[in-house]
Order: sequence, then structure tokens, then C-alpha cells
Amino acid sequence: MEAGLQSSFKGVGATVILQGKQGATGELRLLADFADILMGHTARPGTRIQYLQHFPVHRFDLSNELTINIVWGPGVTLGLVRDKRKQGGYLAAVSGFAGAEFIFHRVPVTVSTSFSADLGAHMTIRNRYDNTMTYYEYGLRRAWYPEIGIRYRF
Amino acid sequence: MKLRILFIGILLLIAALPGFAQGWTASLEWGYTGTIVSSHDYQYTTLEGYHIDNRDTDFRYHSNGYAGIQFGRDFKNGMNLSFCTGLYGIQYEIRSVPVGLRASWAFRRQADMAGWAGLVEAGIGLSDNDFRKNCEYARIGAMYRIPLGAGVRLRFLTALQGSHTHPVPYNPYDDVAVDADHLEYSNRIYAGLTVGIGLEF
Repeated sequence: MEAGLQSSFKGVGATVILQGKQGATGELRLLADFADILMGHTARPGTRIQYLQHFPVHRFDLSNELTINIVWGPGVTLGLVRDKRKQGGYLAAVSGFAGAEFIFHRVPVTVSTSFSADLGAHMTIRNRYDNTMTYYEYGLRRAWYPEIGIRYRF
Repeated sequence: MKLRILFIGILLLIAALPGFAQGWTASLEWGYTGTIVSSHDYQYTTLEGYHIDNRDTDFRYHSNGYAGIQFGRDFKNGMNLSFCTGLYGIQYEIRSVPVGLRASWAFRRQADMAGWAGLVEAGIGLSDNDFRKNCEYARIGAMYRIPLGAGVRLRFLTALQGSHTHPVPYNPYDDVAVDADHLEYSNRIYAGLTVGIGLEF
């Protein structure tokens, strides 16, 4: 198992790598969502939980100190977040990511860099009778934000 | 689009620079700044001509984030001098693009062993908003650095941060923001605690 910190301009939070049976690997992220925070439109972060399946593409054993894994995978995201020009609301999306894992051997630490995108729906709830469900704009608009994960291998 | 290309270009430069230039370092760093106390001192005249002098100190906690990059050079005795920039949050709706210098010195000289280092950083913060003037900032603190291998080090940082800003005061007597013609001066100092994490290449 690996656990650590996931950071990007999208948000910051905890990440856990779960090893399933038959070698399958999944990643669970619990993040404080930074939509509109960096621009100062709000001071209150959203919350999102994301599960991503990891599929290895290629493995480079560069030296006895470093191995690089290229990975990608699909996933799902649920959350209570803000969207572009909208208030906070519920998010349900399918997600995808691609990235590289830098596995250091001198200390049990993995550094990952990745890009991820969410394609989904955002439901703003104003009151009991006034709900608006729209396409989640930030899911693709923020896909180019690089993400960095720093995880300790237990 | 230009901003995105610039941003990704800077990241590639950070990754590539230390590989090509021996002794040069590049770092990515990000974290959290809790602004704890602020003190302001401003003078202006109201629209009716009254002179207002206002000084106060308040303890109002505010959470900010920061992200920065540093390009530097290692010197003898574990010293490193780096140019710093990025985006630092100071207070609600106050952000700055720092242009500063950071001096750090490792308490343990062996570069391949984990250890503490002290740091001092100071510079100006360019305002990303024309409405406000630039500010000055300084940090003093320490970081714990862990060599991961392949020339990469993981860094945990904690520092005290002070920022000297020049916000536009609000004039409650006329219910307006004070304009340049009525403002004599405006100074506000924010002080807080920063914790961060970073990667050095």
C-alpha cells in the first residue's frame, strides 16, 4: 500500500494506492477542491472523492535508484464543488488520467506526475424546487493542470 | 494559451536544468500559509475634507495557498542561493507574484544524507491586480530535506512570513473606497506561518 499527498492547482488532499487481487492497482483520492479559490472568488474549498484504476503502459528501470512507470486509467469522481460561474453543487463524473510514477529505491517514496480530466454533470441546488443540472465545465478546462503526488510505500 | 505554454515550459526547464548544468538547482514548492495577524496604518481625507488617521492591529486568521519555483546555485559549505517566483496568497483577495531571493544553508554538509537547512527569503510581490500596488515580503524558517535518489530531494518547509502591502482603504464616512487623490498613504503588514512541501532537482 502507498499513501501520501496529492497536490495541484485543482486541489490538495490525500491519496492511497490500493493493491487488488491479481495485481490490479487502484488509487483513491480525497481532495479539497480549489475551484475559484486561486482567483479569490471564494475562500471555501469544495470536496471531491475520486477513484482511478491504474493500467501500466511501460516500465523504465533507469538505474538502481529510480524506476519510472507510465500509467493511465479510467475512474469516477463524486463531489461537492463549484463550477465555472456557478455556485457549489453536486458533481458526478467519469474521469481519466495519464501520468508517470517515479519510484525511488533508496527511500520508499514514489513521486507521481499526471494529468486528469472529468466528464460529468454538476447540479446546483438553490432550494428545494430550484435545481439546475449542467455540464461540468471545469472537468475539461482544468485538465491541463499538472498534478503531483508524493507517496510513502508501506 | 500562451500562459499554459509558458507554465509547461517552466516545468520542463525545472526538470532539465540540473541535468545539464552541474551545481545549479531547480525546485518546485507549494504549501499553506495561515495569516495570523495584521496591522494597518493609513491616512486619507474624506470627500468633505476631514483628515482621517487610522491605525489598528487585528488577529483575523485566514488560510492561503502558495506555489513557487526556485532556480539557484549551490555554493561551498552547503549554501544555496536561489531566485524565487510563483504565486503567493497573502490575505483574502490579495495575491502576489513574488520576485525574490532565497538563501539556504544546510546544517549537515553531506548532500546524500537527510538533514535540516535554514532559509531566509525576501523580495517584492508583484500585484496581479492593477488596483493595488506591489508589496514586499520576507520569510525566515527551516526545511528538512530527504535525498530520494537520482539527484532528487524531497523538502518539508516551515517558515514565518511577513508581507508589507498597500491596500486601498475603505472610507466608511462616504461609503467609498479611497481614491488616489484623497489617499496620503496606506500600509498594512500581514504576518503568518507557512508550511510547505517541495521537490529539488
